[in-house]
Amino acid sequence: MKRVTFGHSWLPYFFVLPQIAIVVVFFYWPAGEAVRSSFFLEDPFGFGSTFVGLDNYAAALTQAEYQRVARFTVWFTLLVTFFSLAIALVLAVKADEILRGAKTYRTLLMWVYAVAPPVAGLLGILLFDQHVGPLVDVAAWFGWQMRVGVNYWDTAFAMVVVSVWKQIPVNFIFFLSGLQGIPHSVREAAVIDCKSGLRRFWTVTFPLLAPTGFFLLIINITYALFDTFGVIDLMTKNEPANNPVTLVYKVFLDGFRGNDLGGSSAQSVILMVLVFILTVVQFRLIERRVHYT
Amino acid sequence: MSLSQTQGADAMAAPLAAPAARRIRWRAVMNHLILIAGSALMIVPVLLAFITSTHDAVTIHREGLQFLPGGAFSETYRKVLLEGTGFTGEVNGLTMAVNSLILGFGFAIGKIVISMMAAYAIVYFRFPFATFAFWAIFVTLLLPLEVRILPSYEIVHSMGLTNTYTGLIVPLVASATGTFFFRQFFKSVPDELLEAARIDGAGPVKFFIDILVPLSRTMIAAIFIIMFVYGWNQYLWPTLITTDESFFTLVRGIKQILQVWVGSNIPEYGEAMALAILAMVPPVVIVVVFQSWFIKGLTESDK
Amino acid sequence: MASVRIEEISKVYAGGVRAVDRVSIDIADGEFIVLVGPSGCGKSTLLRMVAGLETVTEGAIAIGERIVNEVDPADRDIAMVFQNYALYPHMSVRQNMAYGLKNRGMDRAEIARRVAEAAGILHLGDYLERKPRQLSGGQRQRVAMGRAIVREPACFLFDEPLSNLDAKLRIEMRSEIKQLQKRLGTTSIYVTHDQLEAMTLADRVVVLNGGRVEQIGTPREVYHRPASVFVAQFIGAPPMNILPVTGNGTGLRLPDGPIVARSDRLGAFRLGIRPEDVTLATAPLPEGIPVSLVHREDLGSHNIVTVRFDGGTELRLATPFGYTLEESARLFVCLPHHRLHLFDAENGRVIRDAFAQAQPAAQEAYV
Repeated sequence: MKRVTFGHSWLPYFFVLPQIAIVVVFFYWPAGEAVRSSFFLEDPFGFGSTFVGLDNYAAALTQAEYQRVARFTVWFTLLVTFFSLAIALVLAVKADEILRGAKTYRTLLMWVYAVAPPVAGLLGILLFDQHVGPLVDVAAWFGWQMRVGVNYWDTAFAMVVVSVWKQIPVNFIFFLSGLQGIPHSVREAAVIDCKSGLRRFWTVTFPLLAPTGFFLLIINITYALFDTFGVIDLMTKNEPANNPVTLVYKVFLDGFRGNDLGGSSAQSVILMVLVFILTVVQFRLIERRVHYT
Repeated sequence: MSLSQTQGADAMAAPLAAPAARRIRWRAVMNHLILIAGSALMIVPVLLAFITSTHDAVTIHREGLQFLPGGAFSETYRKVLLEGTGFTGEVNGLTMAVNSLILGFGFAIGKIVISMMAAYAIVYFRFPFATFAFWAIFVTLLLPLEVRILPSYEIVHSMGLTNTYTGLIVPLVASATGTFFFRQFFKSVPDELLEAARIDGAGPVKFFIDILVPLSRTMIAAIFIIMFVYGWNQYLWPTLITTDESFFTLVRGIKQILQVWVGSNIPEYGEAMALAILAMVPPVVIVVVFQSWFIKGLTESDK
Repeated sequence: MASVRIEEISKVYAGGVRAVDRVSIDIADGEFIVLVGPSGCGKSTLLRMVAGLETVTEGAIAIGERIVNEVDPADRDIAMVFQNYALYPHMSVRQNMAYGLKNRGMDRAEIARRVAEAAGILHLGDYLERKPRQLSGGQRQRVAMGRAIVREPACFLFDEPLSNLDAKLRIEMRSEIKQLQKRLGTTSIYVTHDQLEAMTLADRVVVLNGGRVEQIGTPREVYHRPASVFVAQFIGAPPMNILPVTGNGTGLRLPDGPIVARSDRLGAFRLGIRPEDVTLATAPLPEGIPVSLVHREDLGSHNIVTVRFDGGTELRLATPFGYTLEESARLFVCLPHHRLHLFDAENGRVIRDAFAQAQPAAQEAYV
């Protein structure tokens, strides 16, 4: 809030109204609708619905398929988050360290940000293609007969690879900007105090980068949970039955393909709660960040 | 900026560091090797896709992915851009590109206008319900579209907005990211500027148009880039909301080409790759060209 | 041009904090008033109330004959120079100066005339098409001044306008501001925390502390006849010595120490004397008090010497350059009666004419 503000009677309403209107119609209404229909069982032929309380939740949570998808989602999220953060951190530290060509490397490493997840998925399909994909040939050298799109684990592997590839640039950009935000005097002090470069990294640079890391952790979890939809949709090639999918994809499948409105809504609400918790954690961390700087 | 500082510091430190020069040299070589490997990891898949797209389907099917440019470039891209693809064969790459542009621009502009206005009201006015409006808007940061996709679809469908640009663009605007950006930015604008403007006789609308909007130019540019890329790259929402092929975007069309592909004997690898390349070129060019703005906008958004 | 009357105004914030407490100042037409005090004393709030950027909780502000409490800042006929200049970064120097005039619907020719005139006065002629970021700190400061001048207001308001400049530039701009104000003859209210700035610029200084006026007077008055311990210590560097003394009927005695002044008063007081008013001697003077040397700072033009009385009370004094002191030398100080200030021990207010027998006419000449 500003020290001095305008005290106009209707103008502020005029300014917020468009945003509020859109938010109410396209956010609160659907979100409320999701919560409401999660308590109802919709007749598949459209003859009304019956209130079933928490049955949809119980059904979703006890369903073996749901549990399998949930387990996959957890592993998928962990792997994607870890590898995309780790690789991006290494690259950012190196890009920050070198003196010549830093800008060129930055460009080369960040542009994939602009590639849409489904486009990345399509590239993945090509590279892991049964007939033409070079990565399948590489795997074959190691005696791994990769059958992406057919074998559950092979598909899962390919999905992780593509999702990590797509996410490295964002993490790289943030890590690099975080590194460049560390004051020169602090680095110089560290050079005087500590001879070993690696030790210096772990004792000075890494802790100073921690706020960026926390922030990115949440960003990456959100990415792995939701934004990978396009990758998954492409790489399962419309055969999700024997291929790995994430929770958000299952919401989509059950809702649009399975016509299970109540079950899909219940799953939506479970995800909403999950995201809600993540975001609250994120805000907490951002608040803490303010104290860091 | 900090880059040049690094160089300056190094230039001064160089004579002192002479005994360690060899080790530093090796370190630099290692660093470059790692960075080159990383860059290759990013570039090679796309490069392969592009090179492959310059060959015809039969060659690709027989010999696998290609590492050298072929002669089918103009043929493949002409076909993808101008000839019908998809089930009905009515939509070509050019129409899809136009739709992508409409989505990208419409989304970015709509978002910037709406969120700037909302952020202005929240930061610069004291009015009843201000706190309420603030929270009502910012709660939307909590839930991405994907988790409320089904009811969102049903509501837009019931409004008869499927297969319209309105239905495609407006629901995507219902999140507070832009408002959040601008709120942070407006809060960082010195209070004295408003005070000076008030003494200069500028009212709220005048202040917004004369001072705040011009002041936000860089911020607007940065957010425009981010939002354009975000809009252009939308996939799930366009997939649901557009069933009429004349509304397909390039990214939406990717799925379509895949569905044709799955059933065929010799899949049109080249055309699929060409479409993928077309779908990524505009956002990639924008992000690379306006790199510094884009990075500034992205990294300052989390403060 | 106009006078400004500030009558019993107070600012109470939502939490009940009284930032400004019943302040009254009568400012004559063309007068240069400096509000000075430590941070948090309410000086900026007071200025901002005159500008109309803060609401007035109690009291009235009149510019000219008009009470302006409820008048919009733009309509108060004032111009303000901010600490960070608050130049519009996207506008050129010319546009910055013209913006306020344009908003008032002034015709182009008149705007151009005024901008050209102000640019001439401030030597900004070559910079009119530049953006603020292309200017040096001093030039930005001038643009901020120019923006104020073109409005030809009844009153200039300055909110610590020099504190973002380096020391050398600050001194230059200080005299420029003073000359400019004299030339234009516009009533000015200037806020600063720098007592030196206050002393050099002001026709009259208003010393504020804790939201209240401690003293209003010419620079000489506040320096030589401070109304309170606070003013005595705030104005002047190094500050006035304030010694805790007890009157026993014949003299004022330091705690466990000597009698430092003759007086027939009884009870606890605070005795003030400026460092440059203390006489230092190496031989016993009449009424000389023995002291020991603690510390000496050589400032080139003069020395600042710290000495200690028996009983431990310390005193700072200024001696001329070249005055050498041997560490072991016996030292004596003399506190001239007519340079002493006596303050109430409780509320710190001055007790005027405490040393009546020693008020020579010479001191009146100062004031």
